[in-house]
Amino acid sequence: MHAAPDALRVESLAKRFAGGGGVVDVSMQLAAGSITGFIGVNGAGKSTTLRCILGLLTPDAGRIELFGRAADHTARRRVGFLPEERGLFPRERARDVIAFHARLKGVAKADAYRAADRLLERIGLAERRRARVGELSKGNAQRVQLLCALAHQPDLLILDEPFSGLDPIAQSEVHSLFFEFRAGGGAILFSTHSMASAESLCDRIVILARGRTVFEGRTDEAAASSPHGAVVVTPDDLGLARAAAAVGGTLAPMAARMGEAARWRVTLPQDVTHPALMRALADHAVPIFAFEPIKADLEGAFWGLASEAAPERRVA
Amino acid sequence: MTSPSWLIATREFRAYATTGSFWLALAIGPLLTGGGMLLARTPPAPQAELVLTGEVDGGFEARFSADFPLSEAGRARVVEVLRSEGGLVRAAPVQVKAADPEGASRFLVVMLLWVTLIGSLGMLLQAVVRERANRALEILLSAARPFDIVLGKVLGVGAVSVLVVATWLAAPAAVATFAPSAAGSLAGVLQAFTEPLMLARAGVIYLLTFGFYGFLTVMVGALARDSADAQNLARPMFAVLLVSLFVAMTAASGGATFGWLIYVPLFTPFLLLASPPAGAVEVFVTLELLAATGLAAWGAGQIVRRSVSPMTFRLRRSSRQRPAASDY
Repeated sequence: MHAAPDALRVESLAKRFAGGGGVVDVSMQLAAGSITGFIGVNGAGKSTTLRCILGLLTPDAGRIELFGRAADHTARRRVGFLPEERGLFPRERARDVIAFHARLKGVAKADAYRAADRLLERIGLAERRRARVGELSKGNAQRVQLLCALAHQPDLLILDEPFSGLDPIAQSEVHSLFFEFRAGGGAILFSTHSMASAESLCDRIVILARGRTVFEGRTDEAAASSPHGAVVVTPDDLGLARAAAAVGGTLAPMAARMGEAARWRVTLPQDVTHPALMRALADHAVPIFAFEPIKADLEGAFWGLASEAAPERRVA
Repeated sequence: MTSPSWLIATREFRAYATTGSFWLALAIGPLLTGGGMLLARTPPAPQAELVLTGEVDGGFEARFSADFPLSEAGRARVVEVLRSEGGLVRAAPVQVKAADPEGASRFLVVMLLWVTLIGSLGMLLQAVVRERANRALEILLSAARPFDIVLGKVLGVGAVSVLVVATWLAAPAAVATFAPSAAGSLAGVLQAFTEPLMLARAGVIYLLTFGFYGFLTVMVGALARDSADAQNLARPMFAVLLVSLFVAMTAASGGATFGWLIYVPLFTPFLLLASPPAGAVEVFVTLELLAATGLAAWGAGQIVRRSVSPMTFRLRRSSRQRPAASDY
C-alpha cells in the first residue's frame, strides 16, 4: 500500500526581485493531515514563498510539488488561500461571497451555496448569512474570508496570518476548524507571528530567516533546540559584554538603542544558569534596567535561529 | 461549470447594479437626454431671409428667400426703398442653406457614448485598483488565469456601461419615434435615432471602444498601487479621450483636418462614429481596432499577472535605492 503523497514539497526555492529581497533557498515538506507553522521576521520571505507556491510569482529556481506532482493550475485548484490583507466586496452578502470563491474553484452553483450555508452554520453565523460583508464586525468578516478559502473543500490550506484581528473566542473557533480540517486529511500551512498559536496548533514548524529555511521539523524539536539565555536591558554595553563573556555567553542586540539603554539578548551555554549570569553582571557592576529569562520554547528557538542567520548583528 | 470570467463579470455587474444609487443615476440619464431635448427645443426656425450682397460696381444685390414673410407687393416696396436709398442693382430670391442634421446627429451619438465611456472606465479603474490595493486580486489570481480576471472585469463593468448607454440612447430614440413633432428643431438631429442600422453600428463600435479602452484601463489599474497613483497613470489616457472628442467634433462638422487619425486605434472609434459609413476604410480600421483590442487584452493579462510582484515597478525608478542586506 502506497503512502499518500506529500500535500506540498518545496525544494531549494529561489526568487529574487530586481532591487533586492525575496528568497534564496527555501525548502519544506507538508504531509497530508498535518498543520505546519511558517514563521520568520518581517521581510524574511514568507509571503514571497507563499506566492510562489500559489503560482502568483514564478520562481527563479527550485521545485514546487503539490500532491505528488509539479504544481500547476489543476493542482492549485485543490488549494485554499487566505491572504494577509482581507479584501471582500463590502456590498456582497456573506453566503454569496463564500459561494463565489467556491465556484471560482470549479464547484457547481448549488453545491457552492450548500457548502456556504454549512460552513456559516458551523461557525455560528447562519443567521447572518444574508448580511452584507460591510455590515459584519471585523472578526466576523475575517471568519467569512477564512470560509472562502475552505468552501471548495481543498486538500491544502495556505493562510497568511489567519489570526490577526480575531478575538480569543474567534481564534479558538478557528483552531477547532483547523483540527477538523486536519482530521479530514487536509494539510495546513500558515504564517504567523504568534509563537503561542504556532506552538499550540502546529505539528511541524518551518522557520525562515534572510530568505532561507533555517529550521524545519517537529514543533517539540524546535522548542528543545531553543538556546538558553536572557533578555537584558542596560546602558552599559561594554560591562554586559564582559559579564556575558565571563560565563561563556554571547550577545545580540534586539532593538535600536532607546535613550541610554539598549535591549540585548544573551545566549548562555546549557550548563550556565540564570543566577550565574546575574552574579556575573553584579561582579562587573553592570546596571540592569530589566532581566527576562528566555525559556526553552518556540519563541526562544525562533530568536536563536533568527540570530544565527544574521551573524553581522551579533556582538561578541 | 461556470467559467471564471463569467463569474467575475457577474460579480462586477452585481456590485454596481445592486445599489439604489445606480438605478437612480440610470433613471436620471434618460431624463437628462430626452427631457433636456424637449426643454431645449425651439419652434422650427424661419427659413426666410433677405441677403444683401456687395457687388464689384459698388452697388449691392438683394436676395429674398422663397418663404420670406412678405407678399410680392411688400417685397416690391422693400426693393423700391432700397433703390431709392441708392446702390441696389439686382433683386433675386435666394435659397437658405439648412444646417446639417446628420452631422449633428452623429455628433450627438458620439457625445452620449463618450460621456458613458468616461464614466464606465472610471468605474473599471476603481474596481481594479481596489482589488490590487487590498490584495483581493491575489485570491482571484490563485484561482483563475490572469486573462480570465481581465476579461471578467471588462465584461462586468462593460455590461453596466451597455445598460447605461441603452437607456441614454433610448430616450432620444423614443422622442424621435413617438413624438417627432415634440422635438421641434431637433427633429432632424434625432432622425438618426430611428434608424436601426445606425444604432446597431453605433452599438458595435461602442462595444469595441469599451473593450479597447477597458483593457487599457485594467493595465493602468494593475500598475497602480492606490487610487491616487491610478488617477495619475490614467490621466494621459483620459487626455487622449478628450482630444478624440474634439477631433470627432471636427469630423462631424465636415472638417477633414485630422482625417488620418482614423487609422490610429486610440482615435478610430470616435472618428468612425462621427463620420458616415465609409466602406472599405471602415472595414479596415474596424479590423485594426479589433487587433489593437486583442493586443491590449494580452497586455492587460500580462500586467495583472505581474502586479503581484511587490517591487518590480517601484525599484525600476531608481537603481541607486538598493535595500541594505538587513532589509530582507
